[in-house]
Amino acid sequence: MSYDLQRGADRVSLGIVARRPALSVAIEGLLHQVEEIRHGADDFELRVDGRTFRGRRTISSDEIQIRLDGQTFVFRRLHGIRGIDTSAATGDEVRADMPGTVVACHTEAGAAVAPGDRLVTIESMKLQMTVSAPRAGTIARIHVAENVTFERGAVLVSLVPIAGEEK
Amino acid sequence: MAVIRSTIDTGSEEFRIRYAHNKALVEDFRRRQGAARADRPARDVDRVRKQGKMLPRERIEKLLDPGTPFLEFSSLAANVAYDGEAPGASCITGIGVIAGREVVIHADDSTIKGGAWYPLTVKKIVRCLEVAIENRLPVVHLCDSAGGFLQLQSEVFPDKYMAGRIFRNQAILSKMGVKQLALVFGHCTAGGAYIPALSDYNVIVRGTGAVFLAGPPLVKAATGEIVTADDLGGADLHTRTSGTCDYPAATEDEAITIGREIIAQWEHPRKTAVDREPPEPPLYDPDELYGILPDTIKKSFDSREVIARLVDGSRFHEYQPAYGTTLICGFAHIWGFRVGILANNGVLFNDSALKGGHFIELCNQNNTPIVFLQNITGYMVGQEYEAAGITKDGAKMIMAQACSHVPKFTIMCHASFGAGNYGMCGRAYDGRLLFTWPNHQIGVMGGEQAANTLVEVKVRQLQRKGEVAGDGVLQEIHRTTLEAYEDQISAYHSTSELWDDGILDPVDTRNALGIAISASLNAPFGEPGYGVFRF
Repeated sequence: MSYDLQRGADRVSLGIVARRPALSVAIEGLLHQVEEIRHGADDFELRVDGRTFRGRRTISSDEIQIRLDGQTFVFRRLHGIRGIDTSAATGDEVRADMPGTVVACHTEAGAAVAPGDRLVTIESMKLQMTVSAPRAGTIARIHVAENVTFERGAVLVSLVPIAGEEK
Repeated sequence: MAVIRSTIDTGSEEFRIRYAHNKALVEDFRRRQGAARADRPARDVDRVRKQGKMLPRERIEKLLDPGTPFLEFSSLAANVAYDGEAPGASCITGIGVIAGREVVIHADDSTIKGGAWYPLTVKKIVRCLEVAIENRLPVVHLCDSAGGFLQLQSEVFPDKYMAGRIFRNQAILSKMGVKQLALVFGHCTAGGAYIPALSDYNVIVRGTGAVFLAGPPLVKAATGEIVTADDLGGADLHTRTSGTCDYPAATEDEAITIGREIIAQWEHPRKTAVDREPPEPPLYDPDELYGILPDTIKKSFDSREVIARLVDGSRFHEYQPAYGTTLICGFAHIWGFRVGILANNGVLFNDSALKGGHFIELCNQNNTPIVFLQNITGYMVGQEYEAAGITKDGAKMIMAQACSHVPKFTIMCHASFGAGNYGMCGRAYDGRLLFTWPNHQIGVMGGEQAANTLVEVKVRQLQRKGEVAGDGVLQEIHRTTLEAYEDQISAYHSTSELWDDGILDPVDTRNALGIAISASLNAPFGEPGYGVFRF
């Protein structure tokens, strides 16, 4: 297993060579023996090649900050793909964010949908927008049809859990 | 910073359709740009060659540091004006690197009507000098112009932002300590004579270069004096006798060498210090932008997908990711420079307008340049939204944006309709540079809405007279309005009129922004301060 890290302008490649009997790590081709003495929620104590290091660390998104001997070292994991979850807790009803008109319906009652599947295309303020399924489910009912105008907050599509899915 | 997780399916039918559509638009743009740069009547090119002159682009290439980029402005200026007679508005402007300094280049193009200044030529030169003032960039003028285009003199000469503004801007630059060099390759006649005269340094080529308030024909008409151009305002007269020019050069090559040496004497600018990270290409291929941008103006796209293909490592620190979600705000890096990005993801509502205003203030507090990615059809309309104060919330965003002191850059990614253009740093808001993508459309409203509005106006006019308009008449009004409007709102009309600093192939945007941000750091950021926010 290997990681690519970046610290300032430098790139560091780090590979885990062995985990047992002791953690053996290759950094830029040099082998180091690492022994974990303490592994707290945000602090640690390690023995690396016989030398002891005590410090604190925070890991946020793809950035790792290590505080050691009064200095902070910031590493970035290259290509670590993570996103922030902004999906609201969704109920069974897909509602319109704004008033508008339906351009097209892409699904029908009884169809199973996955998160992100297109449900309806609406037009409002000269702009067509696709309303997608917020979660997996079965279409219970489509409340609108092409060219139908709706108000903000109107229910466009109702979903029910897929049969067998626990609510 | 998290890497944006793309949800684009590059194997989908929709991606394929959009890709083909936008790729065709870009190919059309490349074809038009290539023609504007290079297609000239053989007669005009021969004339220039016979005079022993280089073509303007050859001069620029020799002048710039080898291997450095040249960010050309408005290569398609005047492309739909003057029956296409003045490609590029008869001049070349842009930012390049000479002797390690970032400079603005202004070069006359004497292969078009002897380099005469059309109204849009003047607008383009004034704009490049404005860029020089705002970014404190030295200017190199490559002079070779017959003077103002007489047939259109009323649009070239009298008003505030016409020819006089060129010389006014030159004087202001010099006063600011921003240096200018003029290389006189051809004639600098009438007003044009002030370009070398108001440059802090100038070089004139013997034999072909000349500087005079009136050329030989006008002198003869005025006083009866018969004199050659060289005796009237050539290299020897001006470098030995009048002192109007500084350095004589035997050839154009020598003039360029002297010019480069002069610039090498200029103090290096102390650029504004900003945090910089090592640059890193985007994780996602910018080529995929063609498949993300829609195939019609009405369709939308997730602007995070565009951001992912512009910024370093596709990393984006999104601000308020769950609030005002129709405006995406956040920090990222472009060529290592930290930027704040505001990108439309739908109509601007009260919450998105407030979020945008707040984020602009954060960027100013943090000395972070701002990039606006415009795809806006307006602030939300309707009684519910007016009651919630959509107008005053939009005004807050405009206030924060207009009063920003950090450099601002705008990319017209798709639609720009209505007041959203203002909040998102449209042309009127002194962005350091504004570029347009070929699919872009701009107008106070969409074409369909304009046509419908005009039809309604016509019906009411007739009703007041007690008449009823026939369907045929109304359809005709609708059709003609729509056609005229479609032409007017296109990116080519926009760039022809210099409502932007040029059209870009979307995949070149990251490089253009990198050069633009780097150049902007030649000027200090200024002092923060705002007017009264209507709360």
